[in-house]
Amino acid sequence: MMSGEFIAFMGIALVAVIGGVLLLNLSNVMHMMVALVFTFVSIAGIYVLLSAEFVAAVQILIYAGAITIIMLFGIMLTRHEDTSEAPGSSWRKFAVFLGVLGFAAVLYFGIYNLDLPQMENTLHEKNTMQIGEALYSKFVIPFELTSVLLLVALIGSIMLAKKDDEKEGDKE
Amino acid sequence: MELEQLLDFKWSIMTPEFIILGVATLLSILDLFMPKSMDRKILGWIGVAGIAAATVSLAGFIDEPVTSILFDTFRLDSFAKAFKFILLIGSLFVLLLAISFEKKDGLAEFAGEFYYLFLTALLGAMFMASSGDLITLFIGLELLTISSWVLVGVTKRNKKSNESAMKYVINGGISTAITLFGLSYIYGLTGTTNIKDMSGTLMTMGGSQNQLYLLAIAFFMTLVGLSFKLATAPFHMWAPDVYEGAPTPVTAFLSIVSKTAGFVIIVRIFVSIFGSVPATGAQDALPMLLHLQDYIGFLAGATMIIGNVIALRQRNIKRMFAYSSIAHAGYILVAFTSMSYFTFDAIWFYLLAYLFMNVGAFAIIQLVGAKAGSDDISAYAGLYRRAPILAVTFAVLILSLAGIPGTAGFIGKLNIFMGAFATEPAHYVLASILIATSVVSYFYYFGIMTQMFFRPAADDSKFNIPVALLVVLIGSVVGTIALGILPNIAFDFLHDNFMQFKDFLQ
Amino acid sequence: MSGVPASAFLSLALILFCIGLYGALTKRNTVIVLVSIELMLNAVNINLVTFSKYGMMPNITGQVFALFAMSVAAAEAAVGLAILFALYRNKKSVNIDEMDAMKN
Repeated sequence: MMSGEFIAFMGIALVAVIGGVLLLNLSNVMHMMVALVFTFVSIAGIYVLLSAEFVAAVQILIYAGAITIIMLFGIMLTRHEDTSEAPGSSWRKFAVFLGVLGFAAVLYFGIYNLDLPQMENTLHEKNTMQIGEALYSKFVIPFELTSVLLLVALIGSIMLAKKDDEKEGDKE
Repeated sequence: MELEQLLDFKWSIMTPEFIILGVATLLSILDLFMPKSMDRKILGWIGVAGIAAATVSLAGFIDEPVTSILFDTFRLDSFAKAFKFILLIGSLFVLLLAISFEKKDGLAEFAGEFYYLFLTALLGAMFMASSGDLITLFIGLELLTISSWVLVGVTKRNKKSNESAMKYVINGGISTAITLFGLSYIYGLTGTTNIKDMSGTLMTMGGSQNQLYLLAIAFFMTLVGLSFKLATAPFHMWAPDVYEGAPTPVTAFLSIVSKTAGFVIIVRIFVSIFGSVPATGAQDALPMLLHLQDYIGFLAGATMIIGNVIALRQRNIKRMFAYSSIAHAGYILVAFTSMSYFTFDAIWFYLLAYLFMNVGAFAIIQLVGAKAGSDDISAYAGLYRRAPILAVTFAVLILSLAGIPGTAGFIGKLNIFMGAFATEPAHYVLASILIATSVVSYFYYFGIMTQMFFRPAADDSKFNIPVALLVVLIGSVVGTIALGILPNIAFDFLHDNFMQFKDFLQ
Repeated sequence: MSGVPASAFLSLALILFCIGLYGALTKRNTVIVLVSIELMLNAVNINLVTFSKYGMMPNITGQVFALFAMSVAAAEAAVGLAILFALYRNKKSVNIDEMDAMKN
């Protein structure tokens, strides 16, 4: 059973989980973000194992690139020196931890021996072309709707993040 | 797929959506090129005209048989039509509220955006109502959600608005992730995102115990995630803060249009997917939806109790209406739980009644709040002396919200109540919680009435009611009373045109 | 067919989802909360892509769904941060437990 693919999966999965655990346990917010980059990149590796090359490339671009960068901006532009966690909240944290653990156990019971029939697939052949064909034929309506969504996000972010310049407003 | 094939579809059935999209685009361009000093109210009126045009064009499709474009990624069935009417009328009223909303706290600079973001949110909600594919449903849901996030935070110099937007984003993000996690398992077990194919696959697969277990968990995750849109337990905590901090027209939008859209997507997903899966693997077993209905019933009961009891100790009227809207969502969940023959009718009617009574109430809250500069309940003291007609209007709407006979709210509750008994086994516990919590709600609703009629007024200044608000008030009172006295107008409309939603699964 | 069973991928997604959920519910810095939500959405994408290959009737739809989820996640992150900036400008704090302007 110890095929090369399995070893690759274990390695990548380990990096991903370690990145996530570090996110929870580090105290400096910058270090947290760097830890998360490891998770995002290794998730791209998981996609390659799942014959989703295009999604892997997008994962690197969007998550490891764009989202990490704007989150770093978010940290740099706001106050980020104080790293202390709020005191006295450890009971709440413990309760949340138990709840999440219970949720994970319930779900793990459902998936650990999920018996889905294995079928041949052709996902790895011309992967990007298959995605393109699906996007521009079957899913053209949600695709166009996504463009409206991105436009709303763009306008909304500019509106909300723009500096308040009521006094110099008439100069524009 | 060739281009001719793509053009073969009957794209004209999307006319209402195209109108809304076109008007939103037009407004954004006009806003860009209008001189900075010019009043943006005209943009709001163009938006109102656009929504009215979309409503008319939707009415033109009322006899259209079920039509679907591109593998159900867009479908127009009677369910979609009926609920799109509520979404459109609700947005029309909300936009009228927005026109007469005082532009302060940094809103003046973005008045144009304020109007067309309502339209994009409405567009998302309309796609949620008329799609049979999970991907379109999800994108529509997110378009609605993200537009509402921006709208809640739009008065960006107001600290309360900032905070409520931030809380809305965090709660919304978590709920989106939970919903999607549930949907991903449903996709995995069926291998398709088309709702009709899903129910077909699930019906025939028989399913091992393990798969059914996973499907039930996916059901709960999706339900919990979507309860955020409805503001029902367990995802109701955001509602009071967000309702209080958001500008009043946005609060009205969240409590009417956004809530309606939430019920639409829940009914669409759960009835079609889980309404057909045998719960135990045997072919003749109960559908999973009925098998799990006790849990939905539990959520409905908890929602009604939480909403009505906590509303009792609110002093801020927007917070109070937040809890009351949680409670109303609980009532509608009772209809959804009972899954009787009338469920669709009951949900549709209640949402329509709720639209009228709530939008009118928010119009008055906006008016009084702007005048008094606070949303504290004491601002309503002596309203009857200052503006008798306004006070009586508010009283009618509140009586309807409380469910007093002669009003739309009463008929709506009666329908839900009857529906709870019409099934086998009957839901006695839920029905009694419905009655008991309605009685509790009288206390806080009548608290407002006491303020208005029996307390001395702090000042005697009169109100200037803008035209747009006047339209909303007249429309809502007429709607509330007409539906209360002659509910058959709505039911006949429903039965004549929509045939009991028989084509829901076709 | 391959050395890695589907349940291994699903378990990884579950672990990451739970890490994200725990982070979103307990972290104090709002930026980190938003990042945790992104992690949850990433876990969803792993699920979708896994089912795209190993699910009932393997097909490309899962990958397409994952791409849509990614674009939505990016939009969410952008709007979330913009709201955070507006809040920070008024309040000079990004800590969740200090958001208390509205208490009944």
